[in-house]
Amino acid sequence: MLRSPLGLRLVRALLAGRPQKPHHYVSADFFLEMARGAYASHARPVVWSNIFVPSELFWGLGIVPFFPETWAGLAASMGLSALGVSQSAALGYPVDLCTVHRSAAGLWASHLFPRMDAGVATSHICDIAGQMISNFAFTEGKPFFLLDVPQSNDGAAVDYVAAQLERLIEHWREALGISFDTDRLREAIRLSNQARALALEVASLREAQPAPLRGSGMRDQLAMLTAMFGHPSGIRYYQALRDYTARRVADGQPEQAHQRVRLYWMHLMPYFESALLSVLEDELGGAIAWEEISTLWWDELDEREPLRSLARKIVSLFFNGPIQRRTEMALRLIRRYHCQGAIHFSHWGCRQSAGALYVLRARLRREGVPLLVLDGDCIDPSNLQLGPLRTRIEAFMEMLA
Amino acid sequence: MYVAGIDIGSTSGEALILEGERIAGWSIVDTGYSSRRAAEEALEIALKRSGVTRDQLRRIVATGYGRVSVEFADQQVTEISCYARGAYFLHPQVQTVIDIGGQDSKVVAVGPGGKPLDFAMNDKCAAGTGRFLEVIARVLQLELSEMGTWALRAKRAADISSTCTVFAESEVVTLVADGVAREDIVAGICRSIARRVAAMAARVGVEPPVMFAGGVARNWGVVRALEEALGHPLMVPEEPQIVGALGAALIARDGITS
Repeated sequence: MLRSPLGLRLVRALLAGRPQKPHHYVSADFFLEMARGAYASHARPVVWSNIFVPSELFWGLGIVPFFPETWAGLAASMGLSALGVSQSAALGYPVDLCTVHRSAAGLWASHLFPRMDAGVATSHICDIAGQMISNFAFTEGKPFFLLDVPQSNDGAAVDYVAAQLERLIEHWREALGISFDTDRLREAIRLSNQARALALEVASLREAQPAPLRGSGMRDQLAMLTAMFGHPSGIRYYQALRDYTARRVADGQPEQAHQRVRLYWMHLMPYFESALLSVLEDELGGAIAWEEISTLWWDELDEREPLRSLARKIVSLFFNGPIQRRTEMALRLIRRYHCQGAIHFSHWGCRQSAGALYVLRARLRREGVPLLVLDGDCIDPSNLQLGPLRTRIEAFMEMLA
Repeated sequence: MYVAGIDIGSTSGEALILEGERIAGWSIVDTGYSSRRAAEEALEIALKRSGVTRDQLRRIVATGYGRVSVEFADQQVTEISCYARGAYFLHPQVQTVIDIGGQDSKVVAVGPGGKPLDFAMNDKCAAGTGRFLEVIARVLQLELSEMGTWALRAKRAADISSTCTVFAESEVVTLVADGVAREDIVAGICRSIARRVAAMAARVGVEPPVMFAGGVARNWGVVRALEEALGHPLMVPEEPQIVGALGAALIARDGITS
């Protein structure tokens, strides 16, 4: 792993004291182990995937997943996004394409990503992810499997996806030579459910006022929700986060001391160091009580029907299907966390989130919830100008206060 | 009791002295290279015109993009809140205020007491701002202040399809080369700005009466084009550039009375 520049940077970043809290140590260990499996070891196959293929499937089949989207975010947090974005331009990707995928393509072209034995992606939410992974697989001469996901989340949709998951496992048995052990998959489902129960406890603890955790500190939650479940680290991580949050609540010591207005944050946050969130939280007292990406969206998985459960998890994601799923969930969370307003961070090139803004704004307005839309970029710092965004955030806070 | 409001924009800086409900004096200066210097200069002129000394000021509020540079102000408030408050003071019935300034444009829904209810601002480009007009005025060899008069003389406004300032400049050069009348080009540019701002206003929801403030409100070509695009008549204050500074002064006064 240390021969890989990205792996080396990761180790350096971790050694530089990036983990500050107990749960950060668990996540750092987890991602280092994943990196070791992907970069250094040849013991297990490495499958590149978009973030919406359930992680339980990989851990339950003895596969090391590699999520280019997550690693693009990680690279951004290490100051490597400029390299990825500029390299993707050399590959001919247009500048209005999402920078998560452009950065991933550039990092891949710069040989910073690990080996690839196969690719897989779901067709829902973000179809660029599937196309990118299919491009990588095509160029590397590796097999690629697309899971076609319907917009509905009814029984027929679950059956349809479950049947494809069966075919996917068969495909991997042939292509990767893995053996399918049902008990191992069931164990991954059990681990996932235990982590889920702990994550739900964290969600309940975060209802507290003042908000016990800083929203900006939760920017990595999408990576946790999409990679850790089904792995023992998931339990350790959420246990540590639960205990840490409970202590903050019990001691009356929120991470953010100055809290004036409670907010619901929608979509992503900048992964790189940016003054945007410190202006909101520290200067203006905006407390992000809950983030959309921290929302655990699936029901408890049934280990007697592992593939149907995972299929249900795929189709039930709130970004999938009619916009109302997402807007109604937003309203439920806004009420649950007593938020006075919502902020939507429109990440550059991400149509699936910003495309819902008209309906989202209208629905929130009808319920008396002001919405601020910030146009920015969670990967490329050069596409996030603090000046104009600062005026918008300040004005929004003046409006709410 | 005197208070001051200072609005430092990208092109001009304004200061206004308020005594109770009375505007004692105001000034407009070029911002130039230093927001701080512009603020000092604007305030000194406004004080002089008001016959008031600096010591008599009880509170100063700064607004505008250069507000953070006005270190001597007691408080910094965004132009969103200040325009809403200033517009409400001038016309308590106002429901919407549109400001087109040098480098940005904004639409604010005004609530009771002049509190902003919602707002929208232009995105990261100069389209739909005063800078757009400046660039085109230079290409057409016109003074900025003349553009409104030229637009009102147009027989048939030229169609300017680009929203990007740089592309629109190229488009105007082509129209000039094709012999299109200058007044028709200017009217086309005014329409282009109006379309852009009207689309932004629709995000907030335009409720009449609508006030049009900021430096571009002096351009009658844009005023007419915007009225047409919005489908509502616009109220243009006698001094549209000082609405932000007025709002800042009112917020300064509120700060003392509360």
